[in-house]
Amino acid sequence: MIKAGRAHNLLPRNQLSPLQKALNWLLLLLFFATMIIPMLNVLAVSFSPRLQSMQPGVILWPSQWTVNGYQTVWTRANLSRAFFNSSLVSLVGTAVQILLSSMAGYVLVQKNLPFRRALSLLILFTLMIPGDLTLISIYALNKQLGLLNSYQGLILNGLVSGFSILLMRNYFQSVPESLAESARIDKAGELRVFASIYLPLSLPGLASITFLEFVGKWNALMIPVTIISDPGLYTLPMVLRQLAFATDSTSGVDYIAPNAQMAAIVISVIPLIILYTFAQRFLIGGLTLGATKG
Amino acid sequence: MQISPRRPSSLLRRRLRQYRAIYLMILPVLVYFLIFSFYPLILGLVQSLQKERLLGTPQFIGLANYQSLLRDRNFLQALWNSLYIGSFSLVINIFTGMVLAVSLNELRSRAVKATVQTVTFLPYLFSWTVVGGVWVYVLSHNGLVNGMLDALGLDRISFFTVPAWGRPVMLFTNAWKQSGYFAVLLLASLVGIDPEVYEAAHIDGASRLQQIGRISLPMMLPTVKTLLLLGATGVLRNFDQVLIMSRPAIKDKVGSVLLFIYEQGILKMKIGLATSAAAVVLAATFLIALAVRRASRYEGSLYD
Amino acid sequence: MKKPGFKLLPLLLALVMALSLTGALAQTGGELKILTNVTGGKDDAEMVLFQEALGQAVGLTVTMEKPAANYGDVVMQKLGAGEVYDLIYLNAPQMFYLQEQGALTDLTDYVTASPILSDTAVIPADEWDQVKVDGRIYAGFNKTEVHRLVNINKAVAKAAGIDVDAIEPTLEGYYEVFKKMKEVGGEGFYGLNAVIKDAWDLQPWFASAGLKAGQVVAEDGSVSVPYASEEAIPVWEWLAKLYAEGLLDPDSLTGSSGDMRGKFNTGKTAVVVDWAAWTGLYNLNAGEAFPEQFEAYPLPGTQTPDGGYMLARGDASIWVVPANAANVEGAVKVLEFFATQEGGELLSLGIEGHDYNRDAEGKVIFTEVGLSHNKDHGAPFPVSRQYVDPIGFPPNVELAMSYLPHASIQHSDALTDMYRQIVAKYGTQIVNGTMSGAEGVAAMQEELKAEGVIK
Repeated sequence: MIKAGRAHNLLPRNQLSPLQKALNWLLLLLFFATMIIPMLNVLAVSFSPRLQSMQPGVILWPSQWTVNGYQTVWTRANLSRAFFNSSLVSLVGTAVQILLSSMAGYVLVQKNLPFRRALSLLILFTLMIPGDLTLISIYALNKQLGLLNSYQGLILNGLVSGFSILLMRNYFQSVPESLAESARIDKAGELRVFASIYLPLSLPGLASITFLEFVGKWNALMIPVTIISDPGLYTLPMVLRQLAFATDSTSGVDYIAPNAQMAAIVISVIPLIILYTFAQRFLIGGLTLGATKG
Repeated sequence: MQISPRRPSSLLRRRLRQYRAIYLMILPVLVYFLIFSFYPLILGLVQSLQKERLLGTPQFIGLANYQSLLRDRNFLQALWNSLYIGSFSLVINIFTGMVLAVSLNELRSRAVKATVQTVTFLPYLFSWTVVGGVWVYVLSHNGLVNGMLDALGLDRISFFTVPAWGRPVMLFTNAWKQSGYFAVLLLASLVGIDPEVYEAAHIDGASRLQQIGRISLPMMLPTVKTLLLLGATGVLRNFDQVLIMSRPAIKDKVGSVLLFIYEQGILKMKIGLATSAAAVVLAATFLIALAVRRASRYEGSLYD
Repeated sequence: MKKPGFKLLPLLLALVMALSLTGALAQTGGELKILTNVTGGKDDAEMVLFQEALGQAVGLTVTMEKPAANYGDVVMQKLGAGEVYDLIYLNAPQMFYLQEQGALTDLTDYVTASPILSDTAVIPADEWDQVKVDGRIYAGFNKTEVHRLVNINKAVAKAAGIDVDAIEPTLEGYYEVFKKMKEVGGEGFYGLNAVIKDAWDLQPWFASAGLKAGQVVAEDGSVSVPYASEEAIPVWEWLAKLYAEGLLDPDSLTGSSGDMRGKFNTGKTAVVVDWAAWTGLYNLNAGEAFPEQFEAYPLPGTQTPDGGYMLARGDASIWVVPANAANVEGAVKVLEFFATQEGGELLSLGIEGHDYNRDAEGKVIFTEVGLSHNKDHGAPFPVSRQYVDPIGFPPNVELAMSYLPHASIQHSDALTDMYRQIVAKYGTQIVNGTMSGAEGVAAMQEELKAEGVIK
């Protein structure tokens, strides 16, 4: 190998000192421990028998393993249909959203674009609008556009978020302009610059946002509840919410025990966790970015 | 070099034409916002100027809703609570996210890194109904935390019945739930850093800790600023957490403005009150965002 | 010879037949749209069956919509966007808000004209007071609202040597009961568990001073809050004593009703105050633990100074007819139906053929699906006082229901949740010892006056 001076071999490894490493570990352990408790609680309660699940407090291990909670959820709710609906809406929505948001983010990175600041502010502004202000208008709007009780309605509402646009802009800002310049000099069109330079170099950011947007769409409840009254179009959170909080009336006796409620929660979160474990490869940066060396 | 004078408007027109393709790329998004954000916003603002009447034609009453709102002591208290808790939450959450991101980045083993990252991110996926319920129990009189305090020989703390503890509890549980989310976004700006950069600093004699300070942190800074600005738009938006975790004794300190809107507006079918209060929230959020933008720009970065 | 009359006759006959047919069709062709939150099928398949059953019973085509969540929001959105419904499910307080805005149809004349609804043997006259504004009726009933009363765990009481029927109905009497049961209850067991944060279930204790829960409106329009009066101090101090001596579960100050129920049902509490219907549900939930380790037994609480009892009833769950309804007569027909035996069966047992079947003697046999619905499709206790329950109730529910005459409704208006918050805020401080009874009550009075709750 290159023996650029034996000094190279005498340098300590480029890491934190053992003490610092230990502290690092301790910190992460603390985070890990506190965060795993509620998850264990949800899991444990979901596998507990009906009466035992009513016990107050944080249960970390079922007194008796049973799938009674899951059975209740299964018989009470049409999960397969809801699962299909959620998947369709979230996948299509996220795909379109990422395309549009990243393009918009790219536009906001162009330094000399006239009205660039105004556009950014405009988009930022849309994030400030509280839901209560548009509560009734959103329903009326969807009605006018004929989007009630439809897949289009579920996909189009909340399709684009200023959050993703501005975050994509942020990640794009660390892409060196020189690359874009040289591509433009070579007569490359904007789309080409965008797709072949900016996107690949922002992959971790892009992946993170894609995943978070998917989660957001999957968990969306407020607007779907507003515009969907046909049970065949219910998304998974709607079905599970309906189940878990069926006892809304003041003195009804239709009671859903905690084990079924927690089972419903587990069922709604499992797809996201599975997706996350797959997406992690991008999120921890398994892909090296060769272009910077270019 | 001779600079031939041009009329400014034609210069602008030329630039607009030059960027035609670029504008097209952002057009769909703008159309979307026009239809789904701005149009409902206008409608909502109109409703705030009316006396609520769900059926039939509403009566225009101008700013009356706003006047009674701004004189309502409870509304103002709620607004202050939201501002206080929201601002501190944002700062604490981002800070914790940074610490977490840096810590994760320093881990060598990919398996451990993946596991820890997954677990710290998970609380974000659960709703406040679940998370809040667990924390209320953990912090309850006979719960885990008080159990530990007992074991250490200290007095028990009533976290939900002593007003002074209300805000700290909210801040802590909020950070606990959200920091994993911020860490994911911050980590994305760390993983792109070429390892050679660290090596070069190492050869120059910098310790790992110094490298973190001189390389990792600055690389995260733009994202931090973006997250601060984006977070500013949500400072007044605490609802689910407060709905689940508020208790009468601490409500004066933690009751948020969205909770006020829900209890005084939505539950009572008063759409005029709900929309006017929401408009006040919008205006306040706008001011906060402007302030944050100005403050972070002042740092002298290239960021817009 | 042409006889035009012969040709005319069949034509006339056909015409008459056609007319009578359309007449008959018109009766079965009417439509009715209902927006519901609780009443109805438990999932979409069952909802379709429910709609059909209801439709057949009233001779209309019924469509029922049941939002998945955020019911209040959805009602506002639908009405605000001009959607038309004939019936909307609400709780009584919400009815007042809508009536204020002129969004409801006045039903007084329809009710008086209806043989079923105006029959006081079916629906007592004073029930209608709950849905009257200025003497006019604006809603119909979904069910008979039950009351809350004391539930004691009889199994543990027996183990402590207490005869539940012989408990002295005073604060001291119950204090002794808590003490004795705590001795057998063991670690983590408490005598009483309440939900103080909602100030919801304290009526049986304040009965000892003759104080009614909530806001009390006098003839002259002035409003007082008995729980915040000087007479209330002894009761608050009793609660504080229970807390100090470890007989009141500290979680009473922070826990929800769900927590309270969980603890009671799993044997960690001696006494709670809960719905009469829950007495039965507790026993059902206990499964095998009933009745040896757990039995929920109902009691009327402490006695008032004049020897009676004082219990609280829940807010009525009702049906309103929006002002823009298309089919008001149809809506009233549905309300009438709910007040019949058949209607009561639909709203409690469920749909025949799906939730239950009848055997040769007409006895009701539940299917597995029906069993899991606990006889609650909106009205576990149907509105008609003449309703005969074909099955009978879960253990001890009849006894619990026998105390209904002692129960009255709490007044409810726009300031009710302000009342609740203020009482809970200072109540918490009194109970955990931060404030004395006198200080706490004084603070309550002051703030209630400042907020306009006390007039």
